[in-house]
Amino acid sequence: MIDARSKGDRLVDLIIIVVMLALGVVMLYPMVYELFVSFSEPAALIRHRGLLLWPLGFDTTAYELVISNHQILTGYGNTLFLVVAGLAVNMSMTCLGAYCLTRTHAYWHRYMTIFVLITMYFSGGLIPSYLTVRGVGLYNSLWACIIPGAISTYNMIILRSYFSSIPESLVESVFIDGGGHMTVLFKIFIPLSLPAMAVMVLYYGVGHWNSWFNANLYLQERSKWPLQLVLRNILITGSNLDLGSTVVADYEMLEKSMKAAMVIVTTVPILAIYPFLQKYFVGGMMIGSLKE
Amino acid sequence: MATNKKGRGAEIRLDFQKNKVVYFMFVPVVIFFLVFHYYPMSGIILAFKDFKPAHGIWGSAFTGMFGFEHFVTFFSGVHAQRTITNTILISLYQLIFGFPMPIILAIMLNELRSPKFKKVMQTVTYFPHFISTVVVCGMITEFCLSDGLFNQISGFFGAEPISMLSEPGMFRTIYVASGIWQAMGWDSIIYLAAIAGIDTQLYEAASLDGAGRFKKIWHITLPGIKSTVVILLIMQIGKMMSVGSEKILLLYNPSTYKTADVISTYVYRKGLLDQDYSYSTAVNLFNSVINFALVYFANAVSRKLTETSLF
Amino acid sequence: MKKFLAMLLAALLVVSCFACNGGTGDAGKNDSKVEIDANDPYAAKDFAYPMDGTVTLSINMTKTDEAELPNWVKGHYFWDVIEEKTGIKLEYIGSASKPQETSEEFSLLLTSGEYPDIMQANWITFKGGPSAAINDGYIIALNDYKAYFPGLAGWLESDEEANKTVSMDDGTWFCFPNFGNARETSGTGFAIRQDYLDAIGEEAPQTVEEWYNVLTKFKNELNLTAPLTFEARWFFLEYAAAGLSSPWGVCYPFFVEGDDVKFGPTEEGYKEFVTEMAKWYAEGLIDKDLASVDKSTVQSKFASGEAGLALQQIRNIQNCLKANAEDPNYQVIGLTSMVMNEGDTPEMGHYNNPFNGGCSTSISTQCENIGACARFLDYAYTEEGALFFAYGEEGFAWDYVDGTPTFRDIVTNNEETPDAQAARYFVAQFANFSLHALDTRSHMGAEVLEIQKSFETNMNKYSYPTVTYTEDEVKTISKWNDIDTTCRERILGFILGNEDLANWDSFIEEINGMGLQDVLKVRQDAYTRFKNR
Repeated sequence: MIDARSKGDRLVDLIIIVVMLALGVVMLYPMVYELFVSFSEPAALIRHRGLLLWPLGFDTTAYELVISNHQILTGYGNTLFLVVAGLAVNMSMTCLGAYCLTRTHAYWHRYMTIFVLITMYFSGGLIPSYLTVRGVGLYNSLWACIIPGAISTYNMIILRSYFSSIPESLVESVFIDGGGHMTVLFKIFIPLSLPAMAVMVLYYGVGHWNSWFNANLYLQERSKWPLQLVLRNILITGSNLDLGSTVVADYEMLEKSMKAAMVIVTTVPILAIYPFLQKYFVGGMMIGSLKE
Repeated sequence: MATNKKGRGAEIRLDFQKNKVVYFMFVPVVIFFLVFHYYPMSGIILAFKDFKPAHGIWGSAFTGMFGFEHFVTFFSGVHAQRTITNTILISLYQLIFGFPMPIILAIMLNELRSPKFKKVMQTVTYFPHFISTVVVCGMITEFCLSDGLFNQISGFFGAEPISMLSEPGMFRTIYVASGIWQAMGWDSIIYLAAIAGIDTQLYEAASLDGAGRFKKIWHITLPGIKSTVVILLIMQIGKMMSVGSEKILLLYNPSTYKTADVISTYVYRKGLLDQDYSYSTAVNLFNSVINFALVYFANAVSRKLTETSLF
Repeated sequence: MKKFLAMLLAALLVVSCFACNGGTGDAGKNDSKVEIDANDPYAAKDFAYPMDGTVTLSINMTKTDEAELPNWVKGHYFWDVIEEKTGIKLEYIGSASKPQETSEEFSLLLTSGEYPDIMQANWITFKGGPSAAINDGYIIALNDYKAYFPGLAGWLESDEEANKTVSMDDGTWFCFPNFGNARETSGTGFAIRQDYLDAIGEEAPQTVEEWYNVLTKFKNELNLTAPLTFEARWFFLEYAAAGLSSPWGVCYPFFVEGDDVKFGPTEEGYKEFVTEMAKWYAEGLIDKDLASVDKSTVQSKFASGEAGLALQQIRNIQNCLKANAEDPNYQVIGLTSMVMNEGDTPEMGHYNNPFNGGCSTSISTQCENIGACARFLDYAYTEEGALFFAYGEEGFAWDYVDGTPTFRDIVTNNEETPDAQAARYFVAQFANFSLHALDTRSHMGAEVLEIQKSFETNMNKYSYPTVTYTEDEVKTISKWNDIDTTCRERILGFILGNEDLANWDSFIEEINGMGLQDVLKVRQDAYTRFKNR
């Protein structure tokens, strides 16, 4: 069995590896480019055109300016809170919703789905949403960045479709053993959908990590701002020069390298967490056998 | 559904008794959607009004032409037809060329034999997702200049350098291709998860039967992710009218308006001048209606053909 | 299904009935004249700053946190000192991006129904203009409260032109204006490499012919890939590229000549201008990537030497100089707008109106202490205040040297904040209510100031002023968006050679068919009203 690979099979392997490597270079380069830019000397960057294969000189001013900002730490803290608390809310609400939508025997099932789907297409726009968030008293609270986005309909539908691939016989066996719907959800659906759960965690988590728009609308106190808003503000104040900030020194010269440094500063933590999630959807889990 | 009234009532009561836990579990979800989605939907009415912040949503006056003035203004604009066509074409290209890419990538990743290589590749392919649109567009612009990377490559094969972003004929290609590059890795994650959910015993059994690689992909992997693919496809079709403005605004210029100007950028430019909130609400409503109709249609077709459907 | 939809609709209706909580501000202008009490301390003749410190005013902006300030500024930050100087406490409400600039976010502020006492906004671009803002009850007309702001009122009453510019057609004052001056009105222009000129043995070009000649030599003798570079969209930004079309006496889009408003492309010289540009482009004198380059690429091309002549903002020219500070060969001089014949004066060039309505500051209808509020804002228009807004605190940031205010080293030569412009912004800034009467550019360096000097033209004669439109006119003027799109597309097409210039007349016909004359008439009417203010 081990040596069963035919010549043709190896050729296919080779082709896939070559394609993958090429793809890898194309996908990796922009990040590497950002890395190079962030360490380049600002003056050399202005004079330079085209690809970068190595940093132009070596200069850490951009990082010093980004990191020396006093808000960066509180920003990280707030973002961490957003990710953790946000994920707790997102995951519980989404699982609940997705589970209910798989109960196709229920009379109202189809209407429930349409009820949810409509929200994906029709929206009243920014102003009424803003008034609602103010109306329910979330203004100037970090929860304003969590509760209104508790469920992404798109994600819920994806999870539902994953849930519905679980055999109905398993559900019935729980009922026969005297378990209820909650037991089915926690003992059967969630353990059997770990890859999908990992995807949800990733999609929601990265969404929170990158979010700044709602924070910008609803959070007045700077001490509550998440990381991305802090960084954005550094750039905005820099470009307007009239709000004052430690980092505006020679701003226009530094613009490119600072933007790049920010990309690096925000992306690295995600890359560090990613491998923990990755194991759930890469490398064959023996989920199939569990299902039987 | 041809039951008489009494029978239906009984059916509903019986159903409630049987499924009441499910309905109770759904209550928080319903509350969420009512408060944060349906309640703000009242703002849609602004599409038929001239919004004045001081008068609020309900106090603002209706527009002329029975409230349809904004729609008439939009459709009678000289560029309306062009922006609608461009929007649909870009969406179509994204659907045709962009949609299959993450699936192919996921399958290829799954076929890699070295787990380490697989993990590294998987991480690398989603990098572009983390680079902001502004930065991405800066790179695209740089690469498309007449002395940029792409022209250096094509020049290697003897082609004359051209300023690619000034060519109306190339805009959609550049837009869609860079979009694929940005999203391919990130979107493939969902398919990888679906593949991970396939029973490994199926593969083993097939190997014992002497099935080759392509046979296994065709008979096991693809059917295994079929429902995910169909669901995502239906949802993608429902995005036909929504081509975002941010990236196009950064990439287009007057010489490519012909192929690049879409509904959202048109509304954006108008908004800069007129600051008309209700006008953009009206255009959004038009887009939403078309999108929803498309989803409804795609869903019906899919239910017939594949037995998988959104609702 | 039908029943379900009906239920949904009913539910929506019920829900929506509760939805009308947002902003029900009292509309309608108060027509009765306001009488100011003779004993009102804020209107008193002997009023003196600072006030007693008991009044807090809210303002829609964000302020940098104490912790974010560089150490040398602490205790001397502009917005802290202004509270001391005026005796008013400020409460900052606002989000990170300036809400007054993005229409959606500004709409949110208005919709919320809670206005700050001091409102910074661009009421000129607001739908219906400042008169709508007053009629709808967002801000108050200031004229009756004149006694509270003798500084601003005194200036406006003595300077007729300025008064015209910042008032409404009926003479109403609606804001404490952010009023620029000639020095800041032309921050964009041409810079050329002196060392390149030396290499080809030419003087700085002036006439169209000389420009053509120099650019051709740049291309042929120095092998420059982009002899002249700039962003194509600048052709269509108000007056950004007027320096190129000046020889033909036209610019894009609207300009005035005497009492008449004119639209560039339909004027006689415009076709000739486009013909000339098309020729330059076809011959490779203008950057091949004209249509797609952005600000930073233009900057790079000029800094790297691929371009010999560039149209840029002064900041970007400064960056190019900084980036090549160590290269003694890299020498740049400013270039004034082109002229047709030797000895002509350069007429048109880039120009910003001294008042464009952007970020001016008004008092909202919800302000309870109008006296204190007006006094606070008026500080910027007093003699002492104007100095403070321009230079900061005397004795900390500047001193009188031979009778002229001169920055101290703490601003011009600060280790913690090496960029002098940034340093100045900590101690002094032209806030959204100020009169930029004093020259503060001494820290920019002689070379840059010299370059900027060459940008000055007679454009103030031609510039279309900041006007206001009536509600009916607003409807007509909304046709402009489509016309503008068509103009940009077609004109750039002619220049890039994508379209034959023989089609020029059909282009003019097309935009006339789109209602250009109606728009032009509205522009003319508004301008006539402006002249008669």
